[in-house]
Amino acid sequence: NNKRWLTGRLGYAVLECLVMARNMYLVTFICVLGIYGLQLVEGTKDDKELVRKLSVEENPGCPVGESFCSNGTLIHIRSDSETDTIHFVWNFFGCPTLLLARTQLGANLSIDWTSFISGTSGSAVFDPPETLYTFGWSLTTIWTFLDEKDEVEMNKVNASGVFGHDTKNFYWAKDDKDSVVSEDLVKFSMIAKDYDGQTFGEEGYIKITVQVHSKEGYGTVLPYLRHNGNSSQVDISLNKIDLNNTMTPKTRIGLGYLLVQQVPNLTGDISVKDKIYVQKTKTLDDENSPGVFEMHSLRTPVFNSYDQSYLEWKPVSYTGIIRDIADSVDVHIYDLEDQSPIQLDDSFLWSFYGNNISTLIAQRANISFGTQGDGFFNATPHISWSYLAGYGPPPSDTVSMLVIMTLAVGLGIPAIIIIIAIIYLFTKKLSTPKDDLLLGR
Amino acid sequence: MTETDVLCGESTSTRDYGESVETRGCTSGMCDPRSRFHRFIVLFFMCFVGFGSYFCYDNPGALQDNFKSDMGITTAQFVQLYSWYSWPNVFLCFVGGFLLDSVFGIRLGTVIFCVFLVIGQIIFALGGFLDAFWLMIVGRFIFGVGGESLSVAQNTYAVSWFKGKELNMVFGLQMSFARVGSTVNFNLLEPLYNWVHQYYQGYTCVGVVLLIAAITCVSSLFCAIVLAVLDYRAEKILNKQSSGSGEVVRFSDVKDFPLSFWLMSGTCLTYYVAIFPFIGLGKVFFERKFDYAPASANAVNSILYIISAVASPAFGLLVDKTGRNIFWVFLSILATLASHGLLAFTFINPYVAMCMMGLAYSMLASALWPMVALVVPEYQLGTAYGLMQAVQNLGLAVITMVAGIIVDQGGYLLLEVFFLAWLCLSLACTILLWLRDSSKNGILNMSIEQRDRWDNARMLQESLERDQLFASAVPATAPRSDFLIRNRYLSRIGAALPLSYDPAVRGLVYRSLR
Repeated sequence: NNKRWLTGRLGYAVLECLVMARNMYLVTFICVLGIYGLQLVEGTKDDKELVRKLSVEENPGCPVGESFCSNGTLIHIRSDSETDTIHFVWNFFGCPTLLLARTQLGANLSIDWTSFISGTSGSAVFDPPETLYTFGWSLTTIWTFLDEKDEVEMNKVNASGVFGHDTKNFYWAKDDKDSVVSEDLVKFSMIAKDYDGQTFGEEGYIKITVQVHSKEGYGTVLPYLRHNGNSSQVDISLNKIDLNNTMTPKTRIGLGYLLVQQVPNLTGDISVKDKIYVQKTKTLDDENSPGVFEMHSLRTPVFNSYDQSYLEWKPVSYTGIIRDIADSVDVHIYDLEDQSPIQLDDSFLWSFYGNNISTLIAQRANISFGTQGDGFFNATPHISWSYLAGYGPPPSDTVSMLVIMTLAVGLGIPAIIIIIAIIYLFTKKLSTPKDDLLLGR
Repeated sequence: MTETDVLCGESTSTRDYGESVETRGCTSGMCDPRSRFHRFIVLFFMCFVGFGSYFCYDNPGALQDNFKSDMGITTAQFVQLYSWYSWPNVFLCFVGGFLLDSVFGIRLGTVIFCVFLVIGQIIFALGGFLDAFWLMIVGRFIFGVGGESLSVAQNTYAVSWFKGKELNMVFGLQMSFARVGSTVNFNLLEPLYNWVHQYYQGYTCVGVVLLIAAITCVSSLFCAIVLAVLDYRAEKILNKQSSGSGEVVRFSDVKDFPLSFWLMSGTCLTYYVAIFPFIGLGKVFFERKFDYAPASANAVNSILYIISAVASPAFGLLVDKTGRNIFWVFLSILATLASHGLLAFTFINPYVAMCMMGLAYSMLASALWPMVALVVPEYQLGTAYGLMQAVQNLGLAVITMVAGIIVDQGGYLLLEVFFLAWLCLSLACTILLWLRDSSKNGILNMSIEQRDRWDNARMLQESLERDQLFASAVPATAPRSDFLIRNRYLSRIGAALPLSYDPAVRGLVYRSLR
């Protein structure tokens, strides 16, 4: 009798486990289906976004044989979609400058080289000349400042220890080893090894790498910034530089930018809502940049309900040539200053905008690198930083599929088990009467 | 009470400082080992013995960012300081009691474990001075050998000096003291580091700080020596034999453990891996995500321990009064899920989440460990608790390493989701446990009155069986195994077990101080 009772219980227990296993399989199957379905939906969403085609020209139209064509580089990248063209004009004659312009499909850049070299305004135009939107910025200054008390921020140190070095005094050479030209990706690097004729020494350089992509994706190095087809990623590295003998063991580095935007219907005084502003957002997701929960950006106001540009970065920079989380230091952005009256000298923006400054708003932005206790620039001495620049609303990180899947399965299984358990207990209570403790067992 | 000890198998008798014993030597006032004042002194030293262990256990967590920048290590390397603490305890959980009983004796055993503690911490500090990370790991390994076994020794001392209702209070006090030790560590170490940083920099600074922390281990050693002296003296005066930790660990018992026990182990394992690795990595998480200064980040981290110090005795009382253990376990896992969810997906003040986690953690500890005593017979409890702790330490050792790798590769959101996944698994285990239990006799989720009624009914049934057996010449069924024979014998003789074998108290002896 006991044996039968035991086998009965055993059989029942096995049945229970089988039911449980079957339910778990069902749950997992449903979840996998759900995720597959989600991915399909996301896939179709991507197709709606315009895929762009990239093409590149270097020093377009510069007469062959002229000596000044080899004194610098101007790279014009066109990103064609089916309806318009976005131009990224990178100029390394003098100050490194980017002009971002959105024109009708098929517009070309035409440069009058003789006037361009002599510094005349209006020597670079589009053909046809009407542009839908333009935005320009230029790396005008590299700051070195003495941080005696380790206060980190440039606006807190003694002003007499802050030196600005004009970037037009660098000679930028193109690094052909690093170039990629294809329909999906254009990548090139420019290296400066001397300042005003003085070289930085054997391993000293400033390197700017530009990558333009034709569709969405993530960067290949930390902090894996997410880009889309309308953006270009810029990586800046400064390694073992010495500018005008201003480097001391307690020096920190900063960068100064000039930002210019063309504002339609600009009349008289500039209101705050027309200006470029700094935006700092907190993000929940640090999957791509472990430990960094913020995203900083410089945003232009939106015109015609869509036209806008941005510079976007994660506030982290790296003190090693190979980027590692252990080597990261902070990036500080300071309040933007108006530039009035507008001065576009010594940059491509002068060649492009010329005297047509009545519709322009210009502001200066300063950025510096460092964290308290990091040993200053001299500790490694290296700083690299990446940012995204582009047209349209800036791309933002989204929570990845892995996270959603884990949560769905993880919370789904106990939920299903609870429901099954409740049903099971109800049926058990209804079907079997309460056992008499003394007799049944 | 000592007569019935003989009947209970191979277990050695526990020391009993009862009334009718022969005494020699000093027996008046403070000298008398039985007096309240003397035992209060012993209690003080007993609690302090564990202080060094708990203070130094979380030293890495309190200085996480300093370790990483001074020693130049990644998070994945840093967590090995915790992981290697847990590895020796996978095996020591089984032999700790045996070592204390048969090999060293309680007095020498405690002193030896404290010596391990001191040596381990000093080697750990030496690793800092020499900038040798591998040496630090060796130090933590040795520290681990001493640490966990020390808590078994503490519990054994408690069982031998106190009894009955006092024992509950003593266990509670020891647990609270341990938690206070951890809290002091988190709040003291960052200011200490900043002070030392004025004189030393880099890895030397780390070494000096750890060496200063070793002072607490030395004080633990001192307390252990004093305890040994007092214990020896009491033994001589009261003319008693040395006590044992109580139970022998037999691996043959493992096959008799019911499914409920394995589900409980699963719940324990999956829950604790979502708490302790998080505390180890919490400081930098709070610094980065919530922009806290290092000292404040440490304070948030320590909230869990300080709440546990206060809440654990309170929840212990609650569970004692109301029963329904599984319900409390389920509730605490839900609360921990909610707090990890808050930390992962919102920017709400982390104090809220950490307070909730502290309360949930205390509740689970009070409800989960006594459940083992309800499903496993008393003489197998040693093996059961040893196994559960071994499984817990194995989980901690492995998952801590994985957590470090996740932080380096995937960031803190992914880490939190990882912990949430483990908590969901814990929830699943609890629900399965409840199902399993309700399909049997439902004792785990009964209230105290229901349990008493169930116990009475069972005893009545067994006495009926006994009468039946004596009435008929042949036994009704042939016994199946050792386990059943023992069970039958014990129930037949109707032995009244000594108080220390009381299920309610028994569970607490082997309850882990985590």
